[in-house]
Amino acid sequence: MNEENSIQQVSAPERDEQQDDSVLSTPRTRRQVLTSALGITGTAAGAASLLGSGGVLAQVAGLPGGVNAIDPLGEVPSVRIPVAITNSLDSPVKDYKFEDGALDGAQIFAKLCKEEQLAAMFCAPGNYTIINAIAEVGIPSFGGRTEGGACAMADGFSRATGEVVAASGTEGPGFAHMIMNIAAAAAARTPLLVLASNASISGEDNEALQNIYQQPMTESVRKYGKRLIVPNRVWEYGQYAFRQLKSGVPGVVHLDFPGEVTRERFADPGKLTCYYEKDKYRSESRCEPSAADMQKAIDMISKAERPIVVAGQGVFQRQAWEPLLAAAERHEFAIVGSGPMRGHVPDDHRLNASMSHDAMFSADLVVFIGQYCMPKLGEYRFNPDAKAIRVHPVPEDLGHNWPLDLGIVSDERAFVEQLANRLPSRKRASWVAELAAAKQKYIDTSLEYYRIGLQYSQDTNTIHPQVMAKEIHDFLYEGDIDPKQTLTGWGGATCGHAAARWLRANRPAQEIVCQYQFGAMGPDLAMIIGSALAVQRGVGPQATYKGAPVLCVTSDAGIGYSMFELDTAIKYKVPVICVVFNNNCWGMWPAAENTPRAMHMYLFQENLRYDKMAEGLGARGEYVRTAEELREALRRSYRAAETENACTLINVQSLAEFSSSRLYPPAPTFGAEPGVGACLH
Amino acid sequence: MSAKRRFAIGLGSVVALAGWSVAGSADDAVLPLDRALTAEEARALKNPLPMQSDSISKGRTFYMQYACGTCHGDDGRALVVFAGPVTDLTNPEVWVNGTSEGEVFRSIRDGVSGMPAFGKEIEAERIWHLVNFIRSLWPADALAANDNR
Repeated sequence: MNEENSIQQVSAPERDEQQDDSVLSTPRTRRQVLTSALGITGTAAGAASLLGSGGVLAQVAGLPGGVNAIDPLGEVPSVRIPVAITNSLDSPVKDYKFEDGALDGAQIFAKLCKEEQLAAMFCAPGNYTIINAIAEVGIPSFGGRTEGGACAMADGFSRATGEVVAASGTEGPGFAHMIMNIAAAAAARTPLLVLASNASISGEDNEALQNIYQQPMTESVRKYGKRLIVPNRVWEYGQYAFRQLKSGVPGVVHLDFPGEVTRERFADPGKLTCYYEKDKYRSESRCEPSAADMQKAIDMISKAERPIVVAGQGVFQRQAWEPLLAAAERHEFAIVGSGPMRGHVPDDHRLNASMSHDAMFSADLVVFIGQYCMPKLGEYRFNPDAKAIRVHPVPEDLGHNWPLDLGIVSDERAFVEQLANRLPSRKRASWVAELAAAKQKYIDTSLEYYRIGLQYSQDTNTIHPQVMAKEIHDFLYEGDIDPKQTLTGWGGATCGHAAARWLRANRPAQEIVCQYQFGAMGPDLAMIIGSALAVQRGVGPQATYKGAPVLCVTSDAGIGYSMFELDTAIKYKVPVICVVFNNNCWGMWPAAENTPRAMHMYLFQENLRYDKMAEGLGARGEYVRTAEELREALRRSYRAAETENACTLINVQSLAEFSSSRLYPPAPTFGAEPGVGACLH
Repeated sequence: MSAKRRFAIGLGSVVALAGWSVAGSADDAVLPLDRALTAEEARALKNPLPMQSDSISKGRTFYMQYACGTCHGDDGRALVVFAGPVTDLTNPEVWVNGTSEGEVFRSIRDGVSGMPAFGKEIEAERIWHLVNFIRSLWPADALAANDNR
């Protein structure tokens, strides 16, 4: 298996071992023996050998990527990963060089993406020349079940790592399917490269198949966009894209590649405009805070009695958490993380205010660092009269939404490092005690919600969302599993806010806030599969827990959008546990309480078996109705994830009525922000 | 009822609500505080805190502190309805769960329809300040008409 494209498909010897284990534990049918033999060997020779001896049960399928079995009639074939996928992932990487011959526009663009270390590309087939070239140069490439799902996976990969990723779909319908998740990525300031083309410039304005004007459709959700129309500028516009993706505040970049560009061939790179290497077309230089601004900031922090630092996404993107924690320890200021990923300020740190919402209002100084998506006064639990400093990598957004006493243009890491070096040592015992007391109150309140939910669960033989969330919490953080290990993410309304209260982030990007700022329903599972692929590969902050299982909490409403991506997770052998809160409805059904004729629109069939559907996709399925059953299902699922890279969908049967505060108070609440439970900013 | 007595009742409610286990009442009748108030019980409640500028100001602060504006909007008009239809706090004519002081208190403490119950997160005294602030958002004639019922 080549290193660049190592998708952690289990290697042949490992597969042999796994198959041997399964032989020990479960008897296998003749068909299973046949198919596993084909899967294990993955060679035409193996299949031919089997055909020669067994004779009737298989034949060579003839896929260029490998040999797949044909099952006999009369026996239902099992879900399996075709050997063609394994062989495809094992095939060699190409290094596009002009010295070896002419390159087309797609290959030239892929070459640039490779040199820019594009972390991954997710797609549903379409935009063929581009995605094939990107896969061929060895950029980790993944095919999903929908363009929207692929886009959410790309977003999830980036949220878990901070890396630049790409998402691609075919021009027109595939691109249109991506829009919701492009917008979600834009809201989260994800450095996402959107690629979507098939059509041609010559096909414009003449009703050509799938031809739409795509650039205007991303106008409000992108940082930069361009439809390339001059073939020899393909390298130049690649530069434009990566300058935008890798500098300032991250965002979405959208490039269209019509056929005239992707298929034009160039034997001489001198024919390309601006054909030079990346150290000549962009810079890694970052803005340092001015001496005067830095001194003002230090003076303000030193004079404050109850300062708090909001460590936004920029602290994560610039990997500035260690100097930030050092500065906080030295000067005893409170810290709280924000952004579409959590954990760059660990929840278990003594100065973390992520659960100290009642203390936030008494902070007398708020320092926003790398807060890319600014709340308005009142959206964060800070006193509007508290002084405010904002540190931001570009000046344009300073003063936006939140009135400032000091605005500083600086790279986040540069600012934080100076803080760590220059702030004097100080103790703030009363502030620390206030934070701790508020945190304890939050925990006590959460436990009270759990106690109430447990009673409701016992009364109804279903699982209340607080019980579901608490059981997951206890399993992941209070048992035998390293509490820093498991990456989680959550979506949904009724269940999401319960999950958000109980999920923890004790290391950078341990928790993904799928709904962040945009509130999209449904990308949750796909997004977390993308994050899981980052964990599988140990990219960036996920390195320590490379290969660990991940867990996604979503709703029965949400799973409808991305359930088929379970196939993608299994295909790439990423161990995902998906907990589906099944309350038979859209969580907002109480909105129809006063309009009876509208109620039917909010409800689903009851007791749907998402677990059975997952089994049909090759995953494990679990159906639970009590806390005890959920506990055992989590244990089994995690073990299967660790030992077999298995995916599991746990169908948590609940009730619609738990969304009603009148019937089952207190009903779900939005989490206070910033901190645990935050998703709006 | 005297202002002093109303305040005493309010304090009783604060103590009771904190534990969600004992009772307090506007009329010395026992109000069950381990469950949601009925509409009748809510209507019988009176705000122990006079609707004066100090209380309204505190209520505005709590409105921000508890991020009520996330659903109801900064100005209470609930023009953004991502969490489902949300009550326009500035127009009592459209309210469906009661507009008396006690009913507003009940809506915040015990929740209504899709609105969560905040009784475990916000102390009763602060809820009464919120009641005063929210009613201050009403048109003057609506407030007068409501209080004269």
